[in-house]
Amino acid sequence: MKSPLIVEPMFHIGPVPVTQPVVATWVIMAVMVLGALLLKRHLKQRPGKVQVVAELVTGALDDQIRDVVQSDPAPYRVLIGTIFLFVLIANWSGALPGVEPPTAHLETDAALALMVFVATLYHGVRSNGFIGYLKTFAQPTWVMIPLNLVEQITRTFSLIIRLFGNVMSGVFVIGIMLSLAGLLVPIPLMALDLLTGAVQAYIFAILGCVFIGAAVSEGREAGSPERSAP
Amino acid sequence: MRIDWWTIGLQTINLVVLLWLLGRFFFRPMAKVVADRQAAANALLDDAKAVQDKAAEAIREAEAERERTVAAREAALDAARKEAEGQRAKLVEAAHAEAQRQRADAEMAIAHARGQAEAQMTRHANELAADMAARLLEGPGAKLPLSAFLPELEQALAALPEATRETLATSASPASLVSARPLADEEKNMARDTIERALAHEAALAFDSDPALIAGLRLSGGMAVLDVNLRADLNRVTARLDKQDG
Repeated sequence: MKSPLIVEPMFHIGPVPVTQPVVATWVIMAVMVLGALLLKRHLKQRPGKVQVVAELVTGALDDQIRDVVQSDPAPYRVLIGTIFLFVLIANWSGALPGVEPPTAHLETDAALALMVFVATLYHGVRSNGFIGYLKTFAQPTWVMIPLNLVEQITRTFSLIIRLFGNVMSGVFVIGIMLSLAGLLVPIPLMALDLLTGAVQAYIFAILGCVFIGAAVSEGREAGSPERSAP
Repeated sequence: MRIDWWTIGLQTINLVVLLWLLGRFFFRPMAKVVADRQAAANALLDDAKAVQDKAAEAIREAEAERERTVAAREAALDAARKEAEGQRAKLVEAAHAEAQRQRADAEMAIAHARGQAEAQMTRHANELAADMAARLLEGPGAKLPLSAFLPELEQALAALPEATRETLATSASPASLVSARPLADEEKNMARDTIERALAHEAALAFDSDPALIAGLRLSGGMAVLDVNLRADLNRVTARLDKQDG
């Protein structure tokens, strides 16, 4: 059996090796963009069934973001929504025969975590200013600066490892089951994998939202009179 | 384990591109549709609120108009009531005055009728008295001698105008001498002598009798009628009583 920790290039574009997760991501991107274009073309004030589902999803995302960030969800909607939908579809793509989810590879999860990390920095600086954001690392006291810095790295790595571990393990278990048992035996595990994929997509998106919200709100709280008064 | 940095880079680029594409073709259009719908719903709500406010205003105006109408109705009713009371008072007063007038007229008519009735009764009483007197005098009257009436007849003839005396009981215009009872010839001659002496000429007389005279004579001729009898006396007494009683 091939190790899931190793990706082999499928082909090269010049010096750049193109691996299976990249191709799978392109396919998923194409499907998502085509779906978005089709939906956009048929958007109406009186929505159809598909539009109702799409509005339900975006509405639920807005509610989650608003609950976590405690502010208008518009600046974070595209990032968190894209991460959630991509991770969900990528995780579920493993149910298709012969398709290995891109999120089962460390590189894709690292790219997703990198986006969250950059977005956290961007929104933290945008909300608090550069100095203000740096000051948040000295909260509640300057002694915490090293720990806060390490936390930024470790929580990003935890994002990567959590998603990678869950999805990869599901793929790995199904592969083992397929090699050991018959064709229909892994179906319950695949169903469980769908549930795990949805939960992981939700967890990844919400954690990204929590990190961004923390970066935004920590500066707000640090500058608030209630916090500085005692 | 081996990290493929090319794959990380490509996936990062892919995700950034996907972020841009979904933002452009999915999230922003969806947000715009929802916002437009929300705006349309808000506009509808605003319109409905405006219509509701307008309806509430119309209801308030209708209520105020109803109250004004009620007040005007009450005022009109009060005015009509006062006018009716005034007219009623006037009518009652007029009816009272009319009743008083009619009562006065009726009392006057009753008094007049009573007076007439009393006068009529008095006349009847007088006539009755005259009749009773006539009845009472029928017996004694018949026994009275003719000579009891002749002096009075002579005085009556003497009181007549000269022209009347000259034309009375002439042959051209004989006079009628009516007595209560038929006269004997001696009595007739006595009467004729008395008349001729009073008239100073020969008298043409036609003798007749009428028991209604009770007692006495009636000489009539031409325009002159001389009553010297109890009936005429009773008639005069009755007329005088009638005149006295009113």
